[in-house]
Amino acid sequence: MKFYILKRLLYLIPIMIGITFLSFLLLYLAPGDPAQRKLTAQTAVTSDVLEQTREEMGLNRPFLVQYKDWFLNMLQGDLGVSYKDGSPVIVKLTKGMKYTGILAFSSFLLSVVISIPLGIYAAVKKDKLPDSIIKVFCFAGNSLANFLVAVALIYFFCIQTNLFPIIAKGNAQGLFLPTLSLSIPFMSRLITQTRAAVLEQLEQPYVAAARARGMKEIYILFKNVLHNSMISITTVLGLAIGTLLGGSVVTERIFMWPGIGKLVMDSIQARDYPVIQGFVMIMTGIYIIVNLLVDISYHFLDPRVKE
Amino acid sequence: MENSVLSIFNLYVSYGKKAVVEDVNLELKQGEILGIAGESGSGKSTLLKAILPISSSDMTINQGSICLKNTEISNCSTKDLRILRGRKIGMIFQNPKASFNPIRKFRNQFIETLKSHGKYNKDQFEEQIFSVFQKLSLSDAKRILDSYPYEMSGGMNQRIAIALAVMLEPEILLADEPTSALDSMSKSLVMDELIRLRDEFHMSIILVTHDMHVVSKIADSIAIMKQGKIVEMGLVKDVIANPKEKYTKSLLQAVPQINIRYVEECENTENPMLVLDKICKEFHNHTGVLQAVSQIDLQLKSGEILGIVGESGSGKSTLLKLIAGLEKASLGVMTCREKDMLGKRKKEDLRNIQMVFQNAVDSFNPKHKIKQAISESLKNLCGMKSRQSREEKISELMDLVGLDQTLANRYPRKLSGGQCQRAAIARAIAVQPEILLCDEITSALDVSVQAEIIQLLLRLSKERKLAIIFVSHDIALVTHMCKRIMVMKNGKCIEEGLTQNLIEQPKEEYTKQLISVFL
Repeated sequence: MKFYILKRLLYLIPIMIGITFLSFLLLYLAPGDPAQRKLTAQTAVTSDVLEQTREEMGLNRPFLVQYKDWFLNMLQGDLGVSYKDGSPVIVKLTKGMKYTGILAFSSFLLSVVISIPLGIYAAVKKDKLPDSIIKVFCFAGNSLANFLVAVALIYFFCIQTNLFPIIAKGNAQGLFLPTLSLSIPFMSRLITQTRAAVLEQLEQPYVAAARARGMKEIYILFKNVLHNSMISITTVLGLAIGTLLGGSVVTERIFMWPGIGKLVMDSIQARDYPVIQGFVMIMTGIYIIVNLLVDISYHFLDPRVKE
Repeated sequence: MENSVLSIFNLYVSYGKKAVVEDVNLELKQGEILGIAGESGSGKSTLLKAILPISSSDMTINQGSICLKNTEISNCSTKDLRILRGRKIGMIFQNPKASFNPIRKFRNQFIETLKSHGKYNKDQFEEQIFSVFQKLSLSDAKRILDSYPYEMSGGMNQRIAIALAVMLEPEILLADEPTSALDSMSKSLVMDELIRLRDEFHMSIILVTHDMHVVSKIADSIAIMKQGKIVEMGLVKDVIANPKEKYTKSLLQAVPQINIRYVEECENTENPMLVLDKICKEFHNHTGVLQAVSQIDLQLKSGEILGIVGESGSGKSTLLKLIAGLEKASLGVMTCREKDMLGKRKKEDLRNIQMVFQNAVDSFNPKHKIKQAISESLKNLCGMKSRQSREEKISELMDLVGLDQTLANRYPRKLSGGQCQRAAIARAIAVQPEILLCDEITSALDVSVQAEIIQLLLRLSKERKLAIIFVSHDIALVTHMCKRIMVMKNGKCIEEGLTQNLIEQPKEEYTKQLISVFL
């Protein structure tokens, strides 16, 4: 097990290098000049000034040299400074990450707490009224685009009923609507998945055998069926963490939530390469670690994996 | 009758509008094993489901009564039924591994059952479990309880399933094909266990099976079912000795017995076609190296039928895969008509050796019709380009294996097990191979269907001079088919010889055990 984890952590290195290199290359090839962007605020940009700024920003060095310098600095924990305002990238990212983390975590928690019980309930009541109602909800939730849900929520909760502020500003009261708008599509997916996984297990012969022994339904459902379904549910949960962290860009923008999504959108428009690079790296790291955790959890959920 | 524990009177059961069980009357006495025999679809499993209703399926009891001593089962509420299950009636299933939760230790599965019935308190759990294990002489209870189902063999799983089913001391044990998924050694262990339950604990057992051999060995009385009705009933010795119904006779005839088919043809003097010399196959896993096949020598002449017997895990399937080229040998030499078979094979060699698998339905692509599956082989291996000629060939093949032409247009799932296995044989011989490898091809089939498949193979072998390697755990079946037998254990060939010599004078203890199961 230890060896397995170590091996997986070692895989991190080539993946990190590959992904940061590719994203660096894409940014390099993309049209738009960071120096020009930086200077547009000032009047009368002469080509001399532009050239000088490029020199200062290190933009006219060869591509590989730029990447090498960035990479070596990164290894020392220095992600550089933002082109836009000169503040350290690491500070900017940590601040944004904190808010995005809060939003992702609350959405994750809300979805899990609601979806898994509902999924089980729908499976147990298969083809009965509760199941049909839940299925309709899931169908709608799966089909609606994220931003549409957000706009609808604003209309009902802010404009019609005035219960919540439109602009979130990062406080607790402002967390509710972005959380809900992120959760609804995810919940639908999770309920569908849980329902399918539980139904699949309920049809296994061991369930019939347990019933034949007169085992209480509660043991069958929670100790056996749910445990066995967790293997496929965990996979969905693992994938979702990445989506929630990276996919909240639109939601953050609509609710003016000061998370990393907003920061990255602004940085892309400003061609603020160091911030984008830093973001790509953090997201890669999170994806890999979450995947690793999911894989490790299989070891605990299913003893056969050890074989 | 005063000592009857279960009486079924005038029972009619249906699925939707389809009647499955009609007018069944049965009596199960205390300490008796009642065998219910019949082919798949005869309604015998449905009868068990009616006695012990498990889940809300669309099965309905239209008429009649099922009486457990003084309790009418069809009148029981859901709650009463749950208590009845396990405490009054226990049940074991065909596939013992699947009847346990695959990822929970046996200990938890035993304890949850005890907890559900609340008969014992916490500190008595272990004691109760150990006493059951002792009664059934399952040694090493502690190790078993700390294992998972996948760590045990099929036979062991079935014995543990029996222990679990009788733990709450039910009066009746329902056994639904308990031995048909097991190899012959495990089969005889499970049969012994059932006899012990009857003799020592006076348990009443209903044994549902298509295997007349098992019924004749352990049951006291027997009921033969056909199309939902009981066609013959009586004491086993009477029915076996003097069957009245034609159907019973055919079931009895189909039972494989050690019955040496005397081969009169003159000795085949030509050189062997397929030669294996010290073939080995190793698998590497985290615990080390597993010798699946070690140092096997084998020779096969054209038109010869060679049988390979051994229990599950003895390496016989791996050996077939090596010959078929599905696995790569670790060491050794293999030649076919003096051509090396271990390197990359040419199309011609691939065509020449064909294999048929245990589970016929799974060996077809479920989204392709039978016709497409056969046609694919013809196109790829025989280069038969024209659609017209392929269709003609397919209809010729369907005739050859005794299948109706229209079945070629069906999907594999829409065929019965026997029909599907015939189609698989048709696909294999479509490309005119010289060697046919059969891996347990009859073990999932009813006995009468099994006999038909064997006849088909014998005919093909004779007509086409087809050499067959027939792998089975059923030594009776093998003796019936093959001129020469090889016995495998733990990846090694422990005994080989002409069928007659091997059966009449087995040298190895293991071979004697295999044979004794059928005597």
